[in-house]
Formats: sequence, structure tokens, C-alpha cells
Amino acid sequence: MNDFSLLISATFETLYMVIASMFFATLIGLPLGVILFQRGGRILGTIVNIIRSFPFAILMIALIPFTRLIVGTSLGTTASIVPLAVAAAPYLARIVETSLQGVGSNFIEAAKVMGSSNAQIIYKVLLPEAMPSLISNFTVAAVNVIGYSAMAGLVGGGGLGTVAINYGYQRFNVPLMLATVVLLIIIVQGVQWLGGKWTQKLLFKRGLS
Amino acid sequence: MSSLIEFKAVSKRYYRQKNLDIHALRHVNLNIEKGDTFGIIGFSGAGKSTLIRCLATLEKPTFGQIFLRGDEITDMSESELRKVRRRMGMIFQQFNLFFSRTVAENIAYPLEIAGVDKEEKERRVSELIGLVGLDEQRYAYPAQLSGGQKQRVGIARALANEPDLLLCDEATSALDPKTTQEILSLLRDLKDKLDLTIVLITHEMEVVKQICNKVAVLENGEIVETGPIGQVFVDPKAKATKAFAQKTIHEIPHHLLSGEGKVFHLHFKGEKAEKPIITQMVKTYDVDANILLGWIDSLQTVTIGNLIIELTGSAITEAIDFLQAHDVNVEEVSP
Repeated sequence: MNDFSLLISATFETLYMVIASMFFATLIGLPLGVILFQRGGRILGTIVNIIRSFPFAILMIALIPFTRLIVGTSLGTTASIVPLAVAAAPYLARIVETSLQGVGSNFIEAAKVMGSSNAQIIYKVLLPEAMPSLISNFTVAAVNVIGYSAMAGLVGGGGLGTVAINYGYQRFNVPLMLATVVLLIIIVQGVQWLGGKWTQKLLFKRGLS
Repeated sequence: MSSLIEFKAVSKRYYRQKNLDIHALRHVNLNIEKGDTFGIIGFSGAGKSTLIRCLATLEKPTFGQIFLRGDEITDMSESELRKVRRRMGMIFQQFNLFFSRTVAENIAYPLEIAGVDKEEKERRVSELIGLVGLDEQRYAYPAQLSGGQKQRVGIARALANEPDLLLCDEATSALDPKTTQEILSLLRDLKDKLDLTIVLITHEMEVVKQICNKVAVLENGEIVETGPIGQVFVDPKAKATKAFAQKTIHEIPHHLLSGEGKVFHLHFKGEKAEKPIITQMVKTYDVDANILLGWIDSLQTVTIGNLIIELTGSAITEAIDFLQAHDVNVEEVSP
């Protein structure tokens, strides 16, 4: 395989890892964030803090048995999704929590006085109100996950990180190594741009910018 | 028949820190009848927000009971309260519209959560938008509206579930005088059209004067005076009431003052205004009356004539007694 096609497929692997892990992290983090917001959740909050305290490299190794249990292997792109999602989920939960807190109690009261249930207040008022802040903060999280995914690549996780270490670093192919870095920069820029645009569009539509 | 709303010995305390309790409401007794436009007026910190929040079931009193249509709302479960809340509407000082929703979607919110079907919802929303005169803003977002338009949306949203009770939490305090007028006249129209009972809290005398038929004055968490608006403000007893009544006094033209006499504010009710009492007073007693200012207050139920006069001479006390004997309310003011 030539360097070019290697880079192309590695880029797609990275995108796959990031998108899939953000998807699963959102699936877990969103409800966790809502619970944290609603109940404060001392136990849940502690668990979230513990997971967030782990350096990602350590978390990844600690999760190997769990990853094997779910995916069947601890190597490759699909296997990397597990530690990436586990690392991102508590981060997203905190983002959701603080974004909901930022909405302001006056909206909650208005909704409450109209006879809303707690669930209705969350999904019909608070989440839509917090949406611009959620999107821009999720973008920041996605950029973090891109960085983590490269780290996962260093220990056989696939994607651009694997290319950088296996083909670039260990085989002294400096141009290839630099190319992975450039590609990662482009992906980060792209994600940040998309997230920024989306947030702006939403704010503009609502007449808030 | 029992009142629509009844407060029985309602107290609310906030426990902040040791030795620092805040007594927001003290032993409040209040009756509000169906069809009233009931104003609760007080300076900031008087407890009026707490009072309306207790009525809106957003807060529970520490002691006492509140009855709505004869049912005790201070003793209800959250699910029962949700039903109670759907029969009342509330509007706010800061409007509290949802920024994520258009005008139409904001108004549709109460219908959505009540599970009203789509067609009926559309019909109601259009009707309400027409009612508050916002047809052109239907698809606008709240941030694109003026303060007055926002409050119109707030009113439409509050009325979506066809409540018979509307609570107004300083609803015009964030609006300029002209917009306040518009909102108040809209409320007056809607009240008649929809047969509403309105409870409003405010620190603005003008608001009470313009739309309320009854008023309660709140000071330090206590109701210091309550009754029909004419009675309370023509003959104010409590200090806070006097302060509010005085707020309506127009600027006295100081260049007209001789500075030798005393200045009095006279209130004339109804037909008293037609008798030449001032002339009689001047003829009978050794006083001179210098009329500084006069105006007429049209309250919701009565008309009051006001005169600010400066009395000079040796028989001021007797002259005042004479006026009071003729049912004129006299109050000394410091110009």
C-alpha cells in the first residue's frame, strides 16, 4: 500500500472512531447530564469525576477487559471506540449539566406554571434552550476525542495515530508522520468550523446574534 | 359562597443562615373574588413576589393555607398541582418566553403539554395571536420582538389553556409608559372578553389605578391595608399606602409658594366637589387659600378631585376642621 492510500484510509478510520465514539458518548452522557442537573447525584457525580480523572492512556489500558467483552478484541478501530466513548461520556455529561444550569430558572418556572411535568421541562424547554451552548461545547469535546483517538492509535487503535507511530516514527518516515499531523489539524479545524457554523446559524435563527 | 382565592394566615419564611431568617410573608389573610382585578402593591422587598409565587404554587408557604375555588392548593401533590396550574395563566416581568420557539410555538407550548391535538392547537394559536394583535410576528422569535410585543406573546401563552385566572408578576415593570398603557388596556379588554379574574403585583401606582378594582398594600410581608381601590387611596391609613398615594401627586410649582403658610392636599369625593367649600372656608375663617395645583384622578370605580392649597392666616387649624367636617380629606404635605 502506498503512503497516499494509507493516509486516506487512516483518515476515514479516525473519522469513524470519532463519530462513533461521540455517538455512543452522547447516548450515555446526555441522560447522565440530565440526571446530574436534576438531582445533583452525589454518587453519580463522583463516578463521573473518577473517570474524568484518569489519564486517557491509563483508562484505555484499564478498559481492555471490558473492551474485549463488548467488541471481542482490544485492537483496531472498533475496539478503540469503547475507551473513547467511556472517556467522552462523563465529559459530555458535565457539559449537559452546566448547559442546562445556564438556561435560567425563570424559564423553568414559566414552564412549570403552565403545568409541565419535569420530563417536559427537560426535553421541551431546557434542552432546546441550551442547544446553541450544547453544540458549541460538544464541538470542543469532539476535538478532544480526535486527540484521544490519535493516542489510541499509538497502541494499536488504528487511524492516523497508528500510521504516525508504525509507519512514520518507527520507520523514520518523517514526511509521513508530518502528514498525519497535518491531516489531524485539518480534521480538527473542520470539526471546529462545522460546530461553530451550526451554533451561529442557530443563534442567528433565534435572533440572538 | 366562598371566594375564588383565599389566603388564610399565610406566612413564608426563608431560612438562610443562623439568625438570618427572612420573613417574606407574615400572617397574610386575603380574599379575592371571581371577576376582581386585584392589585397587590408594595415597595421592593415587601413580599409581593413571594405572595404571587405562593398563589402560583411555585412555592409553598411555611404556615397557613391557600384555597383556590375552595380547594386547598397548599396541600396538594405535584400531579394535582399540575392540573391546578393548567387552569391559571401567568405573565412575568421578564416575559420568560422560550428563545428556542417562535411566537406561534411559544403560544402552542401549553397546548402541547396538555396533549391538545394538532388541528385544535393550530386553531387556538391563530385565535390567540389575533387576540393579542401579533399576526405579523407569528414566525418571529422572541429576541426579534419589542418589549410590548413580548408581553403580548406572554399573555397569549398564558391564556392558551383558557384559564379563568391570570396572575401578573410585575408584568409592565420592564416596559415604557406608553407600552404599559397598551398592555394594560389589552388586559382590560381580555378580562371582559374572557371573563377573567386578574391578580397582579406591582410597585407602580399607575397600574393599580388603571385596572384594579381592589387593592392590598403589602409592607414587610404584612398586608397593611386592603379594600376597594377608591377607599384605600382616598383615605389611606397605613404609611406605605400614603407613600403610594403621594406618589401620584404632581410636582408642586414652588414659585407659587409664599413660604409663610402650610401646604395641604385635599381629596374630594364625588358630589362634594360640586360645593363651594373652599370659598365658604375663606369667608368664615381668617385664612387665605392659595391654590397651587388641582387635578382629577379617575380610579377604576370612583372619581377623586385633588387640590393642593397653601393656607396662610391665623385660623388654619379651624379651617382644616371645617373642611374635614365637610368630608374633605385633608393631609398636610411638605412641599
